Formats: sequence, structure tokens, C-alpha cells
Amino acid sequence: MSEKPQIPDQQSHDPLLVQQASAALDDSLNEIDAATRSKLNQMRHRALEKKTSAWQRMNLSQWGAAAACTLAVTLWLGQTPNPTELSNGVEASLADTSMPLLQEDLEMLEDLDMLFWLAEIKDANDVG
Amino acid sequence: MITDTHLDTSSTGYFRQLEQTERDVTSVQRHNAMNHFLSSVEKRAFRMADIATRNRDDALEIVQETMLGLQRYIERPENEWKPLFYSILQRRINDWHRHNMVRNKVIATVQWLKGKQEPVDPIDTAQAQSSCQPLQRLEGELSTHAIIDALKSLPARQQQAFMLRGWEGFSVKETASIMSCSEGSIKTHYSRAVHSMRGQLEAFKP
Repeated sequence: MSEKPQIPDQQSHDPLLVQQASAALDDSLNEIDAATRSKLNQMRHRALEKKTSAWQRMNLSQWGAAAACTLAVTLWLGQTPNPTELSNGVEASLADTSMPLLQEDLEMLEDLDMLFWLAEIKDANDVG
Repeated sequence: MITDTHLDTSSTGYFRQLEQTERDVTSVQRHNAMNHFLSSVEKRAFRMADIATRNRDDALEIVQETMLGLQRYIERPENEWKPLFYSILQRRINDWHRHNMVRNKVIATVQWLKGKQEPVDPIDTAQAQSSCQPLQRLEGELSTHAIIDALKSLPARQQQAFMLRGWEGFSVKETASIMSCSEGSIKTHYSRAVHSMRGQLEAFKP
């Protein structure tokens, strides 16, 4: 098994370089422009607001109530026909009710014809 | 007439209300503490993400995701927030690198398929590296920009190890935990980072 080359401790840590780099990074924070700082500020507030949103403030009993409501609504929806089924049902029932009406109308028209024919015969007989 | 039951009920209600008030006070305190903590680390996190991505908008997005990620742990002890925050930040930066790598591969493939791969202009690639060297050499000191540029040129894991160990002051063990790798790997990444930076910054020394 080959050993990895060891870097001497002093050389690997170089405290002066690390110190200078840390100072440079600290200085670079002051160079962050106002727009970015403002954006960071907004993001922080948004993140904290999210925590205190209504959903997360709900306690166990409120979650239980919400779950029960969801279940009840689901069951109710399961028993109720969906809107498509409902509209189809309405159309079907309308078709069912309109058919006899239409048939009655036709029968009445035929009756009217017969009545007119009867009236004509009667008139002819009266004249004759 | 006040009965025992009435007393019990009213005292239970009182204690419940008291508990609720205490919870609310604690919640506000934690909220304030989290606000204070995030304000103390947001600029450092942004600088880390900016060095890793070299893109302001991507860096801001990473910091935002990190903040949102940390607020889920608001109930955890405050001394755990810092390592948790940097752990989330490093994961987001790694995700960005992975995403970026895939995106670059897709772009390269599309360009190759279209046969529109444009030759790289050597002048474009030879810019910033030596842009302020003469002035810095005259000043005889390591400027902020030179060090930041040197950090940007490091591989991602070396950057992370250097900034977490050298700048944030995390121990090897903590850094290993944050970066989800072994302590040996941290030592290697850190040593290589220091070695590489020393080499790059040698030119700026008087």
C-alpha cells in the first residue's frame, strides 16, 4: 500500500497566509454592494416569515381537525357524482322528460288534423 | 358557589393559557435569535457562495435556500445552528456545481450536434488573472482581490475546506461533518488549498 506524501505541518497550515486570507475575506464583506445587502435582508425576513406562517403555527388538535375535515370532504365527494356525471345526468333526465312531451305534441297535432278534417266534412255535409 | 370541579376547570384553563403564553414568548425569542444569527452569517454565506459560483444571482439564490433550510431547525439548540447552516450551504453549493456540470454538458452536446461550436478566444480567457498584478506588486501586499481571485481558482472542495477551516474557524472534525467527508479528506483538501494559494500569491509578495 502506497503512502500519500505528507506535507509538513507548518507548510500545510501557513498561519500567516491563512490570517491574511481571513482578513481579506472579512474586508470583502464590506465591499458587498447596498443592493445585495438589501436583498439579503429581504431574504432573511422572508425565511423567518415562512416559519411563522399559519400552517406551522397550528398545534396538534388543529392538525387533527384539519385532517378530519379533509376526510369528511373526501368521503362526501366520493358519494356525490362529479360535475361531468352530474351534467350528463341532467341532460339524460331532461331528454327523458322531453320525449313524452314531444310525443304528446305530435299526437296533439295529429288530433288537430283530424279535427280540421272532421270540421271540413261537417261543413261539406252542411252545405250539401 | 364555587365547587372543586369549577376550581379545577378554571385552574386548568389558567395553566393552559400560561403554557401557551410561555410558548409564544419562547417562539418570539427564538425568532429574534434566528434573525440575529442569520444577519450575522448572511454576508459570509453570500461571499462563500459568490466565490464558489462566481455569479451574484446564483449566490443569492443559494443563500436564500440555505436560510429557508435552516428555519426548519429553529427548535434545535442555538449552538447547532452554525454547523447546520454551513452544512446546508455546502450542500446547496454542491448541488449548484452538479447542476452546472450537467447544464454545461447539455450545452456542449447541443453545440456539438448543431456543429456551431465556436472557437474560444484566447484573449477572453486570459483576462482578469493578471489585471491588477502590477499595482499590487508595487504596493507589495496581498490585496483582497488577489486573495479572492486565488480562492476562486481553487477546486470546489479545497475552497470549502479552506473557508470553513481558515475563515470560519471550524475544527477538522466539524468541517468533516459539515462537508460530509472524512477528517483525512479535510486535512488533504486544506493542505492542498494552502499550498495552491501560496503558489499563486507568491507573485504578489515583495
